[in-house]
Formats: sequence, C-alpha cells, structure tokens
Amino acid sequence: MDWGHRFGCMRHVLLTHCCHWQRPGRVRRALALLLSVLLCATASHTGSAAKPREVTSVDAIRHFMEKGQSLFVAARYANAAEVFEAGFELHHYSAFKFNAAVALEKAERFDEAVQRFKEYLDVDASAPDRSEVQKRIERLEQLIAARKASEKSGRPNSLSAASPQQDATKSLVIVETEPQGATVHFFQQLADDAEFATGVDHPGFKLLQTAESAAEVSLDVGKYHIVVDRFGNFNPSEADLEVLPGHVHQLKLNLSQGAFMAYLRIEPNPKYALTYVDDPKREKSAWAKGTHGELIPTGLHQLLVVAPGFQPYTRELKLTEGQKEDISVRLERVEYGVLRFDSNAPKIHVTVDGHPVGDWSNGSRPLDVEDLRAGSHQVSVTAPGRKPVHDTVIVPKGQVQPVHAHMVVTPPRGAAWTQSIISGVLLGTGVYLGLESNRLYSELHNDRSAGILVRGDSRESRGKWFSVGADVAFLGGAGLGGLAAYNFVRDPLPPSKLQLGKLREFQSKPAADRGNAP
Amino acid sequence: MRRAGLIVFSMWSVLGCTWTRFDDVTDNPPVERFDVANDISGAGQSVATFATAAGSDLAVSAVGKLLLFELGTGVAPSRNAVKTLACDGDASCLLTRQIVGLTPSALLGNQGCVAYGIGTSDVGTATAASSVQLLCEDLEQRSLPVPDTFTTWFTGNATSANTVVSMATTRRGDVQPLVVSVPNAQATWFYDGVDPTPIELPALPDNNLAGRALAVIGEGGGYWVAAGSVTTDNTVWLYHVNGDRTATLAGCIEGSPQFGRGLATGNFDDDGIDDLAVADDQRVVLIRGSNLASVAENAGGPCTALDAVQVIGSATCTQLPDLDGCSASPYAGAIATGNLDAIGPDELIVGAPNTSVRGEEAAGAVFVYAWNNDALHVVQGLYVSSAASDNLLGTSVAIAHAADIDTVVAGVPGDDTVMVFYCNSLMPAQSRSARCH
Repeated sequence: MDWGHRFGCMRHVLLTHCCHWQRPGRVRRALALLLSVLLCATASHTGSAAKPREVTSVDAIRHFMEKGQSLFVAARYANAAEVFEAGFELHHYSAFKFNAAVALEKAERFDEAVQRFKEYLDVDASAPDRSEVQKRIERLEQLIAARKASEKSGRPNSLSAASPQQDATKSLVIVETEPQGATVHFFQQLADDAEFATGVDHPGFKLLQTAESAAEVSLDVGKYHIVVDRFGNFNPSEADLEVLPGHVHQLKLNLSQGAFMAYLRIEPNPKYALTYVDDPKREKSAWAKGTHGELIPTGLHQLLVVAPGFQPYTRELKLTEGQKEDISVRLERVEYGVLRFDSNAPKIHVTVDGHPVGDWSNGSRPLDVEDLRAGSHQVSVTAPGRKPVHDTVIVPKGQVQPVHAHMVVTPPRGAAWTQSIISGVLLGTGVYLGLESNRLYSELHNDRSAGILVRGDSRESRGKWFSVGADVAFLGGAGLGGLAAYNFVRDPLPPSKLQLGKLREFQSKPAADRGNAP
Repeated sequence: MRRAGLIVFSMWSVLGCTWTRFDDVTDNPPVERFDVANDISGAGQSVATFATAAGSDLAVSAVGKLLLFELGTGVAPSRNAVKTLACDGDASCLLTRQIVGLTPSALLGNQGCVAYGIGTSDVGTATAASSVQLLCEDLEQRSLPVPDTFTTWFTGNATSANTVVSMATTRRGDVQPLVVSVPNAQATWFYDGVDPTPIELPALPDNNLAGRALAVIGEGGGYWVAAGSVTTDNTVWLYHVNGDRTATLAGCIEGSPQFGRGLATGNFDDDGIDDLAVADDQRVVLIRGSNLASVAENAGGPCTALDAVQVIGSATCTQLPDLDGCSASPYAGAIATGNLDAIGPDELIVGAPNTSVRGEEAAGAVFVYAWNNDALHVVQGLYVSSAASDNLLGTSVAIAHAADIDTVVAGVPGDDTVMVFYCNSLMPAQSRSARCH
C-alpha cells in the first residue's frame, strides 16, 4: 500500500470538505493517533459535547451553514442572515449568530447586526475573538450614530463599513475523540510557513481555545492546529486543520492505547455482503456489512467476505502500522439456485427433472426447491382438477427464481364419460345384436341349404330387427363415441403455465459455504 | 395378432348390420307356407292335390272348413286360399278324414276336383238328396250320388263332425276311381271314375266294420280296395272291384296292433302294380301288390297273417339329426307315396307328427323312404325351420306334382297351415328351382 499516495488522497479530501490533518515530522506520534475517518459524508459516529449527536443533526447543521454561506457568497446577505438565524433556532451554535451578524452588516442592517454580534457573545462566553467582536460592535454602533447624525445634518457619513477581513463568516468545528473526555487545544496558525513545534512554546501559533471532547468551536477562516492531550492510557495526538468559510468541520480522533494501528476499508459487491475479520467460522458479529473502513491492529488477519448466494471470499492480509488497505471484493455467485413455487391452485405437486420435489398447499409458505444446479431444468406441476404443466425453467446462479404455477382448471369430462359409457354400451349392444343377427342368419342359411327353411320363419324378422338394432346401436355408439372423443379433446380453456417472477437474492441462509449442488 | 383378431371380430359384427341379407336368404324359401284365415283352426288335418289345367291345386281341410289353393305349374303358388268352403259336420256336410284329389275326367266335367265329404242337399225337404261332394278347379262344387242304403242311413241317423268318412283313390291312372266308406253306416262304395253310379262293396262278416283308412290299387281291369278295420285294430280288409262293376270281399290281413290305421299305395318294387303300404302304430309295411291275390284265395276263411303275405319292406322310425320321433306312438300319422326323384319306383312318405324337432316335442316331421335293394331305407327327414312344439307337422301328407316333379305336402294342424317342401335330397338337379339354392 502506498501510504503517501493514499494519504495524499485523504489530504485532498480533507482540504476540500473539512479539515486537513497534518502529517508533521513526528510521524510516529501522528500515526499513533491515526485518524480514523472523519468526514462529513460518513459522520456515523459524531456527537456533541453534551450529548451524542445524530447524524441527521450534523447534516442539518451542515445544510443551514452551507446554504447560508452560498447565499452570502451570492451577496444575498439578508437571505443568508435568515438562513443562519434559522440554523441557530435549530442548533444553538454561536457560529450561526456570528454569521448572521456579518450578513446583516453586509446588508447594512447595522442595528440588527449589532444585536446579533451581542447575541453571539452571549451564546459563546469563551469566544476567543470576544474583544474583536466587541470592537466591531462599537464600530458598528458608531457607524449607526454617524449615519443618524448624517441624516439629520445632511452631511455625508465619513465612517466606512466592515473591512474585507471582517466579511468572513465563521465555521463550526466539531472534534470528537474515542473515548470522549480528552482535552483538545485549538491553535491558530498565524503565519503560512509556521510549523507546529513540540514543547510549551509554539511559535507562529496562537492558542485560541481549549475544550473537552467532544468539542464544538466556532472558528474563523484560516489554518489551525489541533492537539489532543494524553488522556489516561491513551497517547496524545494532533492534526492540522484548514477552516473554510461557512462550513461544518467534523473530526473524529481514535485514540490509541499505545498499539500501532492500520486502516482497513472493505468495499464488497454485493453491497450487503458481510465482512468477517479473524472470524473464519463466523461465530461473532460481522466486522462490517457493506462498505466499511476502520482502524484495526497491525499484523496478519484473516478476511472473510460472505453474502447469501455468493461464494465466500477469503484472504489473508498482513497490515503494518499506519498502512491503509482499501480492498474491493467482487463475490462470485454460487453454481446453484432455488426455485420457489406457489400457485393459484389449492394444492400442487412439483416434479423437477422427473423427480418429485414436494407439494405446496394454499396458505403455506412457498415451496422452495433448493440446491438446484444452475441452468435449465424440466419442471412439471400437477394439481387435482387442473391441467398439468411441463416447462423448462432456468435456475439462476445463487438466486431465487419465483415460479408461479398458474394452473387452469381441467374442463369437466363428466358428459364425455357419460357419452363414452353409453357409447360403449351401445357398441356392446351392437356387437351382441350383430352376433345374434349373424347367428340367426347362419341358422337360416343352413336351414335353407337343408331345404327346410320355411317362409315366415320368425328368425327372419328377429334377425332383421337385430341387424337394424345393431345398425342403430353402432351408429349411436359411433356418434356418441365421436361426441365423447370430441368432448374429451375439446378444451376451451388455455393451458396451465409457469410464470417466472423477478429474481430474488438469497436471504439469511448462509448458503455461501454450502456445496454439492445438484 | 390380437388386434387383427379384434378387427376381424368387429368387421364380422358389423356385417350383422345388413338386414337385407335376410331377404336374400328367405326369398323363395325351400318350404312354402300357406296362409290361412285367422278364424280357421286345425288347417292341415288332411291335404290332397289334384291336377288342373293350370298345373295343380292343393286342398286343405280344417275344422269344418275346406280350403283350396292354386299350386300352379311351377314353384310360385298362391299362398292364400282361392276358395274356402264350410263343412260343419252336420247332415249337410260331413267332412272326410282324408280328402282325395281326383284328376280331371269326363265324370267330373274334365275338372280336377277334390272329394271332401258327404252331404245332403235340401235337408228336410222332399227333394233332399245325399251325395259325395267335390270342389273342382273351376271353384264349382260337384257331387256324386251315394247308394240308397247309405242315403237311408244318413237321413235316419244323426251325424256329427266325429262321424268317420273315409275316401281314397289310386296312386295313378288317367281315370281315377274313388272309394268312400262310412263305417258307422256299414257302407263302402266305389266309383270307377267313368260311371257316376256307385258300386256298393260287400258288407263285412260278423258285423265287422272297416273304413277308417282306405286305399285303391288298380290291377288289370279291376281294383283292389283296402280298408282298415274299425272293430279290430289290427286288420285290413280287402275288396276287389271287378271290371263288370261287381265287387267282392277278397279277404283280410292281420298284423300288429293298429295295423291298417293308415293306408297308401305306390309302386315300390317297380313291377307295374302298385303295392300296399299299411301303417300300424310303430311302422309301415309294404305289401307287394301282385301278392294281394293270394289273400283272396283265402276269402271266407280267417284273415291271412301279415307274415303270410309278401312284405317287400317296412319303414320304422329312424333317428336323424334334429329329429327324434321314435319314442312317440304312433309313428305314422299319415302315409303317402310319390316319386320324388322322378325315376324308378315310388318313395314312401311317412308323416310323423309326434316327432321332436330340435327339441320341440311333437313339432312333427315327414320321413322319406326309398325302396332299394329289396328294402326300405330312410332317405331324409323333412321338417321346417320354424318347427315348434305341438305343430304336428305330418298329421297329413300328400304329393303335389309341380314343375314336373313330385313334392311333399304336409299338413300342420297345430300351426293351422300346410307346408310344401319344394326341395328334397332326392330331387334331380335339373328339377331344382331357385328355392333349392
């Protein structure tokens, strides 16, 4: 890991958004107190001096501060003053009052500006610029008096408004330590080339304020050096900070107990992947879920990243002091998936690749067919009184494929069965009558051959009637048989079908370490 | 294989659908049945045929009725009676047990006729006159006078349908005589076929009565007349009618029980003289016609035993397929003779009404016997395909000469009809009509 490069990147971020942690020549000390993370966007562990601050609070503070600053820069001073005032109503930080006063001064609403400056001093009794602000109040009061006199005399006012230096707004700096309670010193860098020196004297720097973390300080635009004293067994630490106008700078310092730390950041894909550090059996809570960075002790670590439906990612990682390791992990999906069945039918029976896999009943949980090899599978679904459906379903890798079996009712075949039975009876009757007719015919024929056949033999009429009956029975049987066949085949309803739903990820099942998929 | 069998079976079943094939098989059947009105019962008690100008006619007696059918010259008879007469058994008409067909002759006005009874016209008047009644082919009734002695008896005695009247004629001859007997009247007389005046036959000695069956055999210028005895059940009396119109009692023959219950004549030994067929309860014996003179030699003496006369053959019951009549008695209900094969001697036709046919008891059958190698052999048993119990086919039999061949006619009184068997196994191929195919 190129720490210099990485630190440069971090520096850039600090200058752009919040603060700048200086890496002085005393690198050892600086590393001993390695800055964890900070920053505006990831202020998940921020808090105020009095009480833990919610992330949303910091965001709101930042919102009002930055919006007021943007209006201020746009010379919409009255509007900027209103936003700063609104910010103060929600969060009683003195910087809001100060900035509102400056904006009102720029709007030449001097009376209100004076009032705001006074309120600023009331809010921040230990304001390091108290004397300057009081002078500013006096100057504004003089200006107000002069303006009134000028209005009475009609002579022009010789007093000028605020100087350019006095146009700058204040920013809010929040310093938090882990653990809290450490003493924090805010030094203002007086010269650009000054370098914070160890010891009691700090040439080029002026101690503005000392507070106990978490500390909230309203600072003017400029460069500062922040020092955290030794706190119990925790080592001291320090950092540079450049305060930008109208910003909220939030810093978090993780105090080290003398052990050297490294910084590890994991960015997994999928983002909900769990990261375990030195816990290959996952017996503890996950180190992180999704993207996460944190100080961890130096040394050899076992990294395990898992996500349902993905093959686990393992890696051994050796971290050295001060090393910052940023790892992106793209997990590969497992080679099997799940089919999840439900249906509109009260009960279905599911077969996959010719093997029964279970039944599903209405009201129960969907039927999950697990451990299916990813790829095409022959799925058959049957339901009593419904048309069966046979189709090919592609099982996704490491995902759940919902399958809704839309089972269409089988058309009733009662009439067809009745017709077929009657047809069968008629055909059987026809066969019987035909055979009887044949028998009688044979008898008559034999009798004729024997010369004894007499006119009016009753078998003649019987045989004819049997023949006619056989004809009628055959025709009726054939007709009804045809009708039955038609009614058996006729199907006005559409076929049943399998409706594939949107793919879903594996849920809580730790499937990553399972094997032997079919 | 099973499928093929099933297909064949199905096809065979489907073939049963063609009902018209029954018309093919039943059109012009070998046996013709004659229709009789529903109000007539017992039709077929007696049958007779006679030649006509249009071929031949068939006469059938029923209870109190006589029916006449036209057989024509071929095998297409009129199956409905062309004439029906009432003969109710009272004095106006006594129906004979055996009606007799007579060929046309001058005596009969050159009409073929059937002699069917005796009756008295104008009963109860001064002009009352008894006569033998005939129905002829022109559908007119004719009559022959009866002896005065019979007229006296007839007018003085009550009669009924049960009063026995018998008649017979010869098997052949251009002029056919007629013999009539009324046993109860002790009267038997003879017509020679030329002179309508009857010739009275002598009375039997010892008050014997005869005439339950009659037969006539022509011999030279005279005739032998055979009459079954009424007073004894095993005797046949013989008369001889001479050419001078005199008659004598020639003798008698004794046989087994019911000997003489049926009589017929025919030429079986092919000697030119008809032979006498006599039925008893179990068989039919053939007595050589030329041997009857030997019986006459014993005239006035005791009857000649059957064993003493020349019996040329006998016909007994024979089991045939579908036919079983041997357990019934009597065997022969009626006998007749005919030349079914149109060559050589005659065949004996025995009506056996008590024969079981295909299990139908007393359905009746007709057995045909041929004389061959000095013996009678059964040739065929004729019955009808519609045989039913108690039809009693064969109660009467006759021979019809149609299409130049003799055919068998049988009465079926149990079914009130008459059957004509147009085909038989003896019929020459050239004589076989479409009915026989």
